[in-house]
Amino acid sequence: MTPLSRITPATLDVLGSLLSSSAPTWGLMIVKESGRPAGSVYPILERLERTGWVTSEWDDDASRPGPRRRLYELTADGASAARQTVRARSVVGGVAGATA
Amino acid sequence: MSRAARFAVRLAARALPAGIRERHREEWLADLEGAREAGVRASGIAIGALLFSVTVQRDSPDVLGMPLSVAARRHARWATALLLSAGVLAFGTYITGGFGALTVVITLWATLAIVAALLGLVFAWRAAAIASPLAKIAAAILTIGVVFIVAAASVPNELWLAGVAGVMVLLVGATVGGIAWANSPHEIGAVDTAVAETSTTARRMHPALVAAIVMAAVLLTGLFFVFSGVVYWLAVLVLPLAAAAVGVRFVLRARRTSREPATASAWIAIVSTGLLCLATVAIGAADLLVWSPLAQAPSYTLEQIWATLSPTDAATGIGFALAWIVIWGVAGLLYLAGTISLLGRKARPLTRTLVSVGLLIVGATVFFQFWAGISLGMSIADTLPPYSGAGSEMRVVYAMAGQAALVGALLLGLTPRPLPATVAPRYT
Repeated sequence: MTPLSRITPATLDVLGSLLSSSAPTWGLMIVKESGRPAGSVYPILERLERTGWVTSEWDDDASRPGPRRRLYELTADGASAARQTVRARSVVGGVAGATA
Repeated sequence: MSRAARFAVRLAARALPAGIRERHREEWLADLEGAREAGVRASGIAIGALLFSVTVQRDSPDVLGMPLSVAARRHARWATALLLSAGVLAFGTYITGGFGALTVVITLWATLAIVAALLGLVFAWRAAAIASPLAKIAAAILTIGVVFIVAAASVPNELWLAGVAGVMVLLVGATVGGIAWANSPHEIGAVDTAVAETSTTARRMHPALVAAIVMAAVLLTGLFFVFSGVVYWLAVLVLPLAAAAVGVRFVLRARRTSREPATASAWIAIVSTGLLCLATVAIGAADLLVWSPLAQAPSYTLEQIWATLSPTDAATGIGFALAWIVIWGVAGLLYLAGTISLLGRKARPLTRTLVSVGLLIVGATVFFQFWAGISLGMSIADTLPPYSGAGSEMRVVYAMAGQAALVGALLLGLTPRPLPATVAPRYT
C-alpha cells in the first residue's frame, strides 16, 4: 500500500463511506453515501485501488441478471490508514473551525 | 436506463485502455441499471464515466494491458498515420482550394486536416508521456511544425514561408521521432499473441518509415524549390518500381507461409480495391484526354481541339498521358493478380495490409494524373480560347477521391490492429 499524494475533501468522504460499512460495498452506493458525484468518486476509487487502499471484486449474485456490480472494500492496511486520515483531517477541521 | 446514458457509458469505456476497458464497461452498465435503486441520477453516472475515461492515468502496464514500450509504439503509429493524413488533406486543400463551386467541400477538407493534425499531436504526446525524453522532444518539434502550418494557412499568400518552414520542421520532428522509436526498448515478454504480432509488425515499419520520410523530403524539395522535371520523373519512375519490388518480395515471402483460406469479406475487400485501382486509371484517362480538354476549350469539339494543336504539342500531351496510363494500369493489374494469387491461402491478418497497398496505388495514380495532364493542359491553354488552365469539375472530385484513398491507406496501413479484450465481457 502506498500513501496517497493528495487527500481531497471528496477523498475523505469516500473513505468515510467505506469505513462505515463492514462488508464489501457497491460502488454506486459509495457515490450515494458520500454525497459526491460519480465523476469524483470513480477516479478516487480507481486511485485507492491502484495504491492498495481498497480491493474490488464482482458481485456474483446469480439472482440478478445482467451486468455485474463492482464491490469495494478497504484492505486491512487501507482501513487503518483511512481511520488515521479521517481522524487527522477531522481534528484539523475542528481546530480550523474553532479559530475561524 | 436512458439510451443516451448507456451510449455515453459505452463511449467512455471504448476510450479506456485495453487493460481496464471491459471491467469498467460492465461496472458502469451495472451502475446505470441500479441507478434508481441507489437513488443516483443516470446522467451523473454517464458524466462520471466520461470524466473518468478522460482523466484516468495511462502510464501503468496494468491499466494499458501491455508493456509501456508497446503502448508507446502503438500511440506513435496512430500519431504518424494522423499527421500524414493531415498533410495529405492540407496539401489537397491547397491544390484544389481555388474551385468556388466546391467551397463547402473544400472547407470540410481543411477542417478534417486540422482535426487530423490535432488528433495526431494528442497521440504523439500520449506516446511521448510514456517513452524517452527524445520522444518528448520529437512531440514538441511536431507541435511547432503544425502551429507554423496552421498559421500559414490562416493568412494565405502572406505566410507561405512559414508553411514551408513548418513542413521542414515536421520532417525534423519525424526524424527525431524515428530515432526515438529505433532506440526505444522493445519488450514483448509474457503477453498474448496479438500484442506480439503488433510488436513484430512495428519492427518492420521502421525502414518503411525512414524511406517515406526521405521520399517526402525529396518530393517536397522538388515541388517547392526546384520545379524540375528531373525530380518529378525520378518520383514517377522510382515510386512505382519501388512499390512493385516491395510488392513482389512481399508476395513471394507470404506464399511460403500457409494459413487459413481467406474469408468471403476478404475476397470482396481486396478484389474491390483492385478493381478500384483499374477504375481510377480509366476515369483519369477519360479526364486527361476528353473531359479536361473540353472544359478548357468549351467552344470547341474534341476533334477540333486535336486538329488545332500542333503535332508536337499533341504528341507530347498524349505521350505523357499514355505513359501515365501504362505505368499505373500495369500497377493496378499487378496488384489485382498478386492479391488474387494470395487469397487462396491467406487469412484475414493480411487483408488490411493488402487493402492499404491498393488504396496507396489509387492515391498515387490520382496524384500523378495531375502532373501527367500538365503538358496537354498548357498546350491547350496557349492555343485555344479562353486560354485558361482550368480543368474539368470531375478533376476536383477525382483529386479529392485520390486524397481520401491516401488517407485510407495511411489509417489502414500504419495504425496498429485492435487488441483483444483482456477480460472476457460477461455483458456488452
